[in-house]
Amino acid sequence: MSEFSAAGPVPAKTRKLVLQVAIGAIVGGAASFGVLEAIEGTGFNLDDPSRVAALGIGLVFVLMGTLVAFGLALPGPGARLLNVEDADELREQRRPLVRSAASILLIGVMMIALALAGGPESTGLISREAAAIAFAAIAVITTLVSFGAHKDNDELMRSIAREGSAWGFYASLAIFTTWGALAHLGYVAWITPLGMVSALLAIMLAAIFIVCGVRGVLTPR
Amino acid sequence: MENRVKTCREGMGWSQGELARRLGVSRQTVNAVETDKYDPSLPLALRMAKLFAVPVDSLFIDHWEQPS
Repeated sequence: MSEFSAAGPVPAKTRKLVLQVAIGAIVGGAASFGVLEAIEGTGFNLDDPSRVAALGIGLVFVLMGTLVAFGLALPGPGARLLNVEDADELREQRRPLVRSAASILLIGVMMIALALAGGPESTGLISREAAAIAFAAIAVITTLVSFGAHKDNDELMRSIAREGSAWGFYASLAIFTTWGALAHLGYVAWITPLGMVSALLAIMLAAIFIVCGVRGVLTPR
Repeated sequence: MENRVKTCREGMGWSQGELARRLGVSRQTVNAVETDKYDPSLPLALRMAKLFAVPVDSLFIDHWEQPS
């Protein structure tokens, strides 16, 4: 009987999960490859690991925001890509998801702008003045959007945001106090400012994902 | 915390979406409560009990006992 079950058709939820992971991997891989090729074509030096990290984090945010935006624009096919029960659930959650998609996309753009910006002694694909203006504008917009999103979110999402923020803070505290202490004592090199921005966003993103997993939001539906 | 939300919801013939709509929360929230991944706030627990017309302590079962 168990052999029969093992050889039986793959459950719909598993198929959906495989499809989601496969599309995410293909789109993410293709986008990363395309962006890196385009940047290399300009002759911009991407040897700095903190620029590569910022670019990677930026692309992850842009990819997440684009997938949610796609789901909102086309709820039918979007429901197969995102972890929702059906297209109606995307329509019901349209208001908070629009804010989320916009914020996530903008943060991704901000990180890409920082990764490609020139410094006081180096030239970038974007001037540092343009990157500074983009950073300031996006920081203000995402802060305002976050306040609005807090009203739209229901209690589960608010709880996930609070719990994820707390875990992200504790993880950041542990990582950067240890790293800072070791750097002060000369055992390790201190992180660059761009590396710090990238690491903080990566830690917060990881914390939110972990809490989403614990609260069952990532369980295939 | 163990709960009987799914049993009560199915007893009323409601989908997760229908219960979510009546409670003013997302389907994710109803799903998370039913699968014991999330304990609802006291106001939401009271609203659920009111909707199903059952006492809260029969909807959410706490196995805690006062230490002797």
